[in-house]
Amino acid sequence: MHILHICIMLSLLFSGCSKKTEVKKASNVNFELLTSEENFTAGEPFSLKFSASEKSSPVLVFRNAVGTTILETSYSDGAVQFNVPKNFYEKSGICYWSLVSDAKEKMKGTLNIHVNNKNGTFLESYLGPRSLTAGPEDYAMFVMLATDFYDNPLNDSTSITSKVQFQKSQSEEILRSKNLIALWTRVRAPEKSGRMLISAACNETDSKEFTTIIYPANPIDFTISYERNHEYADGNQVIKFKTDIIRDTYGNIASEGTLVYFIITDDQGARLKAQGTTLNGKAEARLLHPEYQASWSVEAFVTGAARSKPIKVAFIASVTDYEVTFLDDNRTVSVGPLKSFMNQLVPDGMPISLSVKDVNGDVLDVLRTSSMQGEGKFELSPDFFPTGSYELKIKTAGITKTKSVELK
Amino acid sequence: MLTLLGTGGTTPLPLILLGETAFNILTLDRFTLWATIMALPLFGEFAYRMVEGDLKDLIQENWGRVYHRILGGLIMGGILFMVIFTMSLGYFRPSQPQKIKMQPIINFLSQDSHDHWRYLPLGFGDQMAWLSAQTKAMTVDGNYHSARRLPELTTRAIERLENSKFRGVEGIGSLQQFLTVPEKYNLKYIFSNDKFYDPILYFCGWQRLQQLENGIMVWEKLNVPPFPTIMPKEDVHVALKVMWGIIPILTVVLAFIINIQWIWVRALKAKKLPQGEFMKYAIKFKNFPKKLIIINHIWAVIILNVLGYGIYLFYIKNVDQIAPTNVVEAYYDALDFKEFNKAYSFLNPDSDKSIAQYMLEVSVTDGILSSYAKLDSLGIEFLQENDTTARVKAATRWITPLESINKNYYHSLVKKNGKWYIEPSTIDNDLPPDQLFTSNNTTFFNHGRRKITTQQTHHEDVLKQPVLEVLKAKLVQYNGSYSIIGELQNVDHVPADVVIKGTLYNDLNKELATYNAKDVAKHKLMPKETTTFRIDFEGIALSSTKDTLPPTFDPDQFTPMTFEEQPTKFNLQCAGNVANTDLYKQVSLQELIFEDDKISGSLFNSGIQEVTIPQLLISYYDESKNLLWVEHEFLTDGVRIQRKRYFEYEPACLTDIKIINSSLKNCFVNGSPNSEISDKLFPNRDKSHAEDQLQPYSGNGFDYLKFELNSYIGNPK
Repeated sequence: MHILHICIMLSLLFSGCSKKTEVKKASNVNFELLTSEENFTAGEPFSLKFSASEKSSPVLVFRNAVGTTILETSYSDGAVQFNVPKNFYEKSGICYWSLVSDAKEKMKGTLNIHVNNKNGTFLESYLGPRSLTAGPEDYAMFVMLATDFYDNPLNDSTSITSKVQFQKSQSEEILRSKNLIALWTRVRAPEKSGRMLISAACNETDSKEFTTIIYPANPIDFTISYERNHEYADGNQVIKFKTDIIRDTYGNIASEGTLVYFIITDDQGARLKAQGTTLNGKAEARLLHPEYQASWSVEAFVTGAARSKPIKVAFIASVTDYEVTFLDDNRTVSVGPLKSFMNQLVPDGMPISLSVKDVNGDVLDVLRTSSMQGEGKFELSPDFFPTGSYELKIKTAGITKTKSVELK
Repeated sequence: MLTLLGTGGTTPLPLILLGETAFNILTLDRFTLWATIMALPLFGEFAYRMVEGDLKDLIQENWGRVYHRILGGLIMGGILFMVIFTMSLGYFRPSQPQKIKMQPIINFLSQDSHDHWRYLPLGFGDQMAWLSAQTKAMTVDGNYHSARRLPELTTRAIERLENSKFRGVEGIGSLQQFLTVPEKYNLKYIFSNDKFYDPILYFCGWQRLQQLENGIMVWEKLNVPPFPTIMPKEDVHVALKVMWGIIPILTVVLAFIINIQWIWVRALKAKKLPQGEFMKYAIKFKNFPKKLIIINHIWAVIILNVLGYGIYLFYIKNVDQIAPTNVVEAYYDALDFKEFNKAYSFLNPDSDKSIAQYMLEVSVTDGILSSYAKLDSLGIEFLQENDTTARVKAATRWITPLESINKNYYHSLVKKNGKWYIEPSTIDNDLPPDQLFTSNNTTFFNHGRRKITTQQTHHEDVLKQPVLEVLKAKLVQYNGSYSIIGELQNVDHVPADVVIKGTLYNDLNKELATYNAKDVAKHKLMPKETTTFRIDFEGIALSSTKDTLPPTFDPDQFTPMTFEEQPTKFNLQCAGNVANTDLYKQVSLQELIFEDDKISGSLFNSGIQEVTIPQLLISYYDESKNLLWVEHEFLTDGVRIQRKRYFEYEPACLTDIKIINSSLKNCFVNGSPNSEISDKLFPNRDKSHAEDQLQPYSGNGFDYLKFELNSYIGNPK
């Protein structure tokens, strides 16, 4: 069995090798080009014809921008014909061909495929970036690519018009193509903010409309003001800080939503902070009135770009004095009535704090409440504050009162 | 052995037996189940002997028939009670969320190429597997531990990211790592069925996209690349797939067919069955040792005593008002489970607070503690105590999606009619200034694509990435860990969503770690807005450990990474994308007071959105106004409209901070070098503006401070 297998294998091996021993016979076929034309138009099919002296089957090596291919044919009536395939004849440019028979190059030549202007022009165009900053620094790039129906770039010196519209002005620029590559132009940002429309045209074809938004440049210094109902520090009114219309160097209103920081420095040197975003160039920020007499210095910033001159705001104390009464063996501390500038009771919610210290001055507890009907009450329960003497510090509306009491 | 393993964490033995990793990964309950199955034959024998065997005879002989009946009844009753109790436990304490309609989610994922990114369901329970089975899109999460593909998930004990809130700090920690560097996992969409996770999503830079018809909120993250078109996938051989598809089921089917025959035959008495082989080996159950019965009785008495004592302890601990500790615990329990009626019942009935008033006060509180926190532990310390009153400090620790928060509350307690009560705390009487007021604002909208087409987004619909500028960047070492700190400005004309990615290198330019800015940064910036930021390098960032994580992660007890080689250089990659949500800026800082080591102040909300979680970013500067350090603080209560919220802050001590590298050389924005952007967009930057906004403050190791505000809005209107 094994021997049989080996025999079959060996015979197969020999038969495989046998071809190698065949002797190739030399060929002396002569060819002649029958096609006289050397210039063709893209998209139009064509073929190359040769006459051959004897029967043979040569191949045509055909090369252009698409790539290289080998075309085959069959011999008939003493002539051979090679049909150029579709993707090759649709591509404009120089084509190289060489006729090969029996592994020998018999003939070679070149021919031209020209751009086809008959089926109309295509125009591809790109614009970027889609937003610019006003002023001479920034620009967008507009790229135009005019091609024929078969996507071949048009011949050099074809004119393409780029058109720009901005507000009342419209301009056109004629560009001529060169080296078959895309045309491009820089569209400089104007000094005004707004919307710029750009388009291109070539032959009979127009591009679509492109937009780039011109945003205002960085803001420049501005002024601020404030608005409030009254000048009293009652802790329950809103004060508005406003900027005037913030503009850039060219007079454009600052971009919508630009953040403005308002830094408020109070008498103690604390920097309070409010922030607002611009709407039509104006930013607004709100704060509550302080609860005690204060004078504020307010400055606004668009960090790194613009700032305002500082303004001063003063608040007059609304509560000038108040009573503290002790009841139930000093165990109930009643603060108030807290009266405001017209002797009205302060709005509910004025914070009142009471810190209880023992005789050694150690703080035992800080009790906090807020006013209700102008009054605040603290209960000093005997469970937590046993009999003895204490020092009580009451603070509200910026006024501190200290009392020493004996709790029973 | 199975019983031993089944004890789980109650004894240290399973941990010793299995080792750390296996112990953390395995659900040890399964051993209990196997143990009960193994005990079944023994129990069967017992039941047989008890019902009709020698045990029955013996008991009846010694103690009479009635005793046998009662004993049998008690055992049966006990078993039945346990069965019914276990079966209906899920009804009283549901462990799974309500059923979710999956269709809208599936539709969302198949629309507009959304399945080119990974998604993550949150709060779905076991239904996440159902969603996963129905969609082509991939998730980062996985149901069965060892079958997951992402190494981050297989190397840790966390069961699922989807329910990470039940895994405490570790679960939240690993969820945060996924949310902070979603680019690494191509994770763009999150389906949230649990409001609990919303704050962490916001503070990690995610934004709400839309609410689906089934009530699921979709969150998205900008600047996440889609999957590469070719995915590495370890495919198994077809034969294996076929084998796993056929054999297990076939075994069951075969077993069923074989066994049903006998049962069928036996039930119909179709033919006479041969006596089973096993009957030859039948054991005659007799002579149950009498001593064993006595031992069994003693054992039963011991068990019953232990049980009784357990129930007694349970009762004492759970009777709400028997002692001051109980009432405080019960009160916080009630608050934690939002049982406000119950909580109210613990308040002193003699106080003039009505239930209506109490409920109203509860309804107006918002913030991370009242809306997003789960009580983790409660420590009660008596400040003063006598027979009828007490003053206690309740030290609470809350698990929130952002961090664990420790907060102390002080309560006065009184005893009335043998019951302890809590004195209700007073509320702020503050009245907002205006009843009706107006607010004007710039709002933004981005269409995404203008033409309705399945094609890629049109070239002209792609918005330019907003340009950011890095103003400061530093590599610092503080408390043994490395951070990149810095400041960034949106120098463009539109609001930007900011992603900041930092990479550390050593002297030989070897990459050591990569991570993104998490919650110490504002992720949404208006034009010209600045933010300070800090990038901390957590376990996941380490490239030396590649994709493995440290077994535990605690966002608070941040274990500094030990870098084998010292980082000396850094690279910063920032990306801006047009943002149009979460741009609320109407919170102001006022009433700043500096006392001793403490800063107190208040936030005022002047806009028309209720801020649920306000965040303070605090940056520290030296005497020459150079940035030293950045910190943040979440305020535990929200700021309601036109109201104030007080806060206190203790500045850090920066005496041992070390600045390793301070350079803007390797900073890039949207892929362009930062210096080019600076030269082009801000050639005449006035540095004094930023410096003049700083707050002078003489602190430990620093001279200036800056406060920045960031606000999370839970329910945008």
